[in-house]
Amino acid sequence: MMRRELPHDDGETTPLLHLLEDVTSVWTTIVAIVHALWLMIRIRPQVILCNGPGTCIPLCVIAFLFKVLGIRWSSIFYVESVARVKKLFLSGLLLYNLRMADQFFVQWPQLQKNYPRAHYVGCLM
Amino acid sequence: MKDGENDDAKRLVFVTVGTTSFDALVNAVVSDNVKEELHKRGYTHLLIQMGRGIYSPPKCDGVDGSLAVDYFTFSSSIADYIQSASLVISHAGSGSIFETLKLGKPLIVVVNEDLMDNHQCELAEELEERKHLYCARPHTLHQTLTKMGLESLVRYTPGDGTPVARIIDRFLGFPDD
Repeated sequence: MMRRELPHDDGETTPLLHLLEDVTSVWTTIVAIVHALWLMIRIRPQVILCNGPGTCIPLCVIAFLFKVLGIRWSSIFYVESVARVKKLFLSGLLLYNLRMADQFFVQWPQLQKNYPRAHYVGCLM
Repeated sequence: MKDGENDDAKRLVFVTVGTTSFDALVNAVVSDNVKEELHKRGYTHLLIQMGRGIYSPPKCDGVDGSLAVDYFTFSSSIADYIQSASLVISHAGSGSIFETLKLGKPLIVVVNEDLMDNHQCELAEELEERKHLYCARPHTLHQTLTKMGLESLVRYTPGDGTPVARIIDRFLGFPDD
């Protein structure tokens, strides 16, 4: 699925470049959401299995909105990356706090303590 | 390497930075005191996968008995290099770390302090606490090399995805096996 590139901070950007980056970010986010919507309707996945990177967010948001509207096509399962020991990725935080994932998995016990609704499944690597 | 040279005598240190640029590590690894310590510990060859780094270390063929140094930028797979190494020094990327641990090789992870969001060091420090590897910074690499006891490292047991599959199956209503 289309990936929205995050702008890099090289310390050299001007306010104009920042604005251009923000506009491009908004545009690519819209494109990603439209693409996710198209994928949902075309594939109608029964299971969405995802992990850390934010590329999964547009698809999970669309699937969740569908569920809210009564179209219960997809179950969402999120496995937090093994690289996250003490804190969740931003995408994990969103899916956990907004209760968008049906089941949420973490690979380190410290995370399970902080996020008790998550399943601790040990290191999967 | 000369023909007929005894491969068993070769002890390779493989350094990898993955797809990143990590000149501080490459610099540290070819510094005189690090090379001297590696040589003292019986390593004969130093091979550096330098990724997108700018600094190219000087190569050395080691014929005078010193540490042989070579480098390359990328390879489609570094598994073979890890397999033939006696010691791996890696950046803190989870892919490189687990690829090395699963092959059962001694590992020193060097954390890149120039990275903005350094959640990488969480993983390296946690695995160091569990005695699976040593963790260092570029400026403390020499110190880590002098103090390390590789025999005290605990072999890493690869994980298993079955618990995840079981929970998902149960949620979806499939009967347990």
